[in-house]
Amino acid sequence: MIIAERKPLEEILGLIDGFDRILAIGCGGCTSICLAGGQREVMELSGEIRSKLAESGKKKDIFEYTIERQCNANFFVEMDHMVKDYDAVLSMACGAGVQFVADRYPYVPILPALNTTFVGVDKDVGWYEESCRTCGDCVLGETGGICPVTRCAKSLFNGPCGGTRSDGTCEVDPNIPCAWYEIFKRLKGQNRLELITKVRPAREWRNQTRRTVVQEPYRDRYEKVK
Amino acid sequence: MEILFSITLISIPVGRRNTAAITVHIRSIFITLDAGMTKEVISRRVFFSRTETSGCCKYDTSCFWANHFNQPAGHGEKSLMKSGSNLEAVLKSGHFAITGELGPPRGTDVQVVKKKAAFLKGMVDAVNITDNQTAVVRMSSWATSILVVQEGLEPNFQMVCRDRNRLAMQADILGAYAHGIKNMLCLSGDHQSFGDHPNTKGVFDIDSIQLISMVKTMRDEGRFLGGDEIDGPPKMFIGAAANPFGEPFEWRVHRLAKKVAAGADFIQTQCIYNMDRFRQWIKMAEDMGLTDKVYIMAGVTPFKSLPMAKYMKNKVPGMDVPDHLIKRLKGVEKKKRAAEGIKIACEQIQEFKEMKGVAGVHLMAIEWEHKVPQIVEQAGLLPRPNIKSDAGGDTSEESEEEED
Repeated sequence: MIIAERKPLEEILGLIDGFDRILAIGCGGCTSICLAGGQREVMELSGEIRSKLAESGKKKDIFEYTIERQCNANFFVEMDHMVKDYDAVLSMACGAGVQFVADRYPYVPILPALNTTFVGVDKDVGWYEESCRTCGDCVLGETGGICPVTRCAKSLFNGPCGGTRSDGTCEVDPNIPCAWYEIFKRLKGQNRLELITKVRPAREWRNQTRRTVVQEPYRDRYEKVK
Repeated sequence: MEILFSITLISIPVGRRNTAAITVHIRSIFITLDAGMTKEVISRRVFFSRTETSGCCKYDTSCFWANHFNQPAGHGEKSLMKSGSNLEAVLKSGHFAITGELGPPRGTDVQVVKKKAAFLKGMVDAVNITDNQTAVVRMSSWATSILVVQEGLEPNFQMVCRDRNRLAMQADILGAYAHGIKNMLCLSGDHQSFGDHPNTKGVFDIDSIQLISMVKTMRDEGRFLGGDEIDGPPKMFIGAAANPFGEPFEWRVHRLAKKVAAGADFIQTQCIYNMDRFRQWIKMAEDMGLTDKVYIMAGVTPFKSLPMAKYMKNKVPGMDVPDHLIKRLKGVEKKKRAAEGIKIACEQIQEFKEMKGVAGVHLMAIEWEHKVPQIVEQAGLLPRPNIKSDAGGDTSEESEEEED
């Protein structure tokens, strides 16, 4: 899941400065699940904006609306007619959703209310941890299911570096386990250490230009469209 | 066997075949004979001539390493000079080598480099030029290396993976070699969060082992990482680091093996204080046949004071300082602690000289370059071998050949 955090209120106030009528749209997808940009968070944000503005005797017209997902055109149809009535749209989706909204309504300014942080998992309610950098060339099969790109501070492919602490934590932060220490332990437990004995050659980075994916069953269909 | 073989080759005119490597090799053997081979030198030479791979480790990986290293070409590789650097020649000749360290200035003052270099000249076989160490900006390591060459010292050009991508790395390697730099130390680099620009983007396009492999490909295959041919490949003597004290301890020797497999010619270790653990590590390396494949130089950093020793013990990740050393420093009066630190270092060096599998020491006298002459003298490492002039050869001829 994509994890996001809300921007500080002051920054959001700066973004909406100069716009009187604002449409704040929540997303029912990832940002809703990670408690950053769903229906409840949209209501909370607009409430905070109103009360902050009220302190200085100002007022803005904010309307909250949440759709299923902000990364698929079909979910926008129900709100297409509303957008023209507003000076700006404040999106509570991830960066992908914000851009999707901006492309769909190019005549109105789209403003992000969140910072998209990472692809991660739930550690507990409201507590998330990064686990994938979407590098496009997954090595988890050889590293005991522990990602060296994400979890090693230096993204080493032939670790561990010389900085592993005596308790197996990373030199960068004593609270973070050394990814390669963990990889070693897991593969040793599975009696598969030979997987990391070979030198892994320099990789061909695949996340340097914008990527598209067409799943195999759909290749013919989109080939025709082109 | 190797010696006899070399002696018969001596009669070949130096200029004819024009392979500098063979020439230098013959010369180095000639010198050792000439200079009166000590028992130690002979045993080290013979030691490096062994071809069998010994020992099996407890993982299935042992077979991998055994197969990997048990190639007849293995020691043949060592019989030719790869770079023609002084460090390579010293190690190859079987002398106990010593390298120093010089940290570039945090500015453009060339005098700082000259001053430090003056202390090291004639004291070490090569000097490591650190590359933005601890992720703090300094004069670039290749530029400082050139200054050091001009001062008559041989640099060991350090390169970290943190600050450059593969394009910049290869470009700098070409430039460095063009300016007479023949040794390189390939490192991952301290993480940027420790430095003076903690939020910079760490590059880590490739890691240290991939860097070793890239430099080897450039040298031996004459190709860039991307596959294109190099017009005049850089012939670097390839170094790598090893930390015998980092966790997981039992994997450390395997990581050393990976570095050797990737193409490391020599290893400089992390500062050693826990001699027992180091002995254990070098024994493992020997059992895996690694000490036959790579020259291991033991890292030594003398304590300057008690606070420094405590800092090394408590604050530097991956460092192992036993309590008895702290106690020993505490036991002498404050103004004699620096001398005690040097004494400890010299005792270590003495042990390393006699330790099987150790080919030299890497003396990291951090911001204490002026003490290097004293330490080297006290450790009985002077005079340093002067292989090129010992050979009585014409140096201009030699340098021409090395351009091959």
